[in-house]
Amino acid sequence: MSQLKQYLKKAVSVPPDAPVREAAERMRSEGVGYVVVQAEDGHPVGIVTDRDLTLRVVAAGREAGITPVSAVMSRLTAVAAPTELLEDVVERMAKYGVRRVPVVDENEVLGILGLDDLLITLAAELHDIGEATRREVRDARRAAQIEQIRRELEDTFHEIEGAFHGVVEELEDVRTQAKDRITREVEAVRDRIRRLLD
Amino acid sequence: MPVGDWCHRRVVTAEADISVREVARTMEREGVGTVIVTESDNPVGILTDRDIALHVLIERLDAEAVQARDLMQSPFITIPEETSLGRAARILRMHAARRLPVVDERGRPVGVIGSEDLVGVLSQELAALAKVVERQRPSPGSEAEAKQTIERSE
Repeated sequence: MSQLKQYLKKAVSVPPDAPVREAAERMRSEGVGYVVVQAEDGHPVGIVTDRDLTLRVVAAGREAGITPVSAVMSRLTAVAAPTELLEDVVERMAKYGVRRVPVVDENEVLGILGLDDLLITLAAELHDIGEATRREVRDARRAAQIEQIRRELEDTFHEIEGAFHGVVEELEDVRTQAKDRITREVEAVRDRIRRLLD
Repeated sequence: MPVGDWCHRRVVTAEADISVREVARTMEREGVGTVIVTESDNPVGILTDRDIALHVLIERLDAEAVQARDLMQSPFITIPEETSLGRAARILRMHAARRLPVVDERGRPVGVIGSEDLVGVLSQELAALAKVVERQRPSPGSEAEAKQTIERSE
């Protein structure tokens, strides 16, 4: 339920008889791209965007100081309640072909759900989720690769160890043989000397 | 995925010396909110529907007398066509821009990218990635697919 609220933008309102210049001034000072046209009793009757002002005032050659916003606004066809689900409201936007829906409680405008703002927020969120997922998959693959390398290293180590043992054994043999031979040689020399002395 | 593959490869231009009323009519006729302002075919600035509305109405300008060059943003922020979509989304958000021109390596505008274009692409990407996550621990076969998905989305 609070889902809808987190995507709301503040509503900047003007009365229906305000001149379009006032709407433009509010858009600039509030840093928004549209204003809600609100009747005296508070209920919203229309929306005027910066684009509407360009096309319906500048392109059409209307006088900005005397044209009321009610003359160039788009009449509201859809509103939303704060308790509605985001997907239901977006569906209504698609049905009525509107990009902005005032969220109204009783007669009070709580804020505006704008498709453009929503898209920017969702695009950023989707991208962040995508990044996190990619990182997860990458990490999983990296962990698998590390395990593979570890196993290969272990095998290599065992091979080297085996080979080393072989070499050590061979060295032992050589040493024993050499020792035996030297012993025999020494014995032989000793015999010859003993014989010469006799 | 470079942004150049996904943007609208259509650029609406306006000569720097035409009146902003004429630019506003061009925007209406062409159904665009951003035009590239050119001087002897060189892009020198951009002009949005918002720029026109606010300047003309608030400053009480004569829309017939004021020229595109008087209201254009110059220099203007551009997105190189090789930029990744994720980065393009961040640039749009950072500058609170709804649309920005995409330029080739020589800085010439080749299209316009808007947040609505990005959402479509990013949700496709997300759907592809969701499939990967569903598999949790990739077996050797699905790992190859996972790799493909990652490469596609990069």
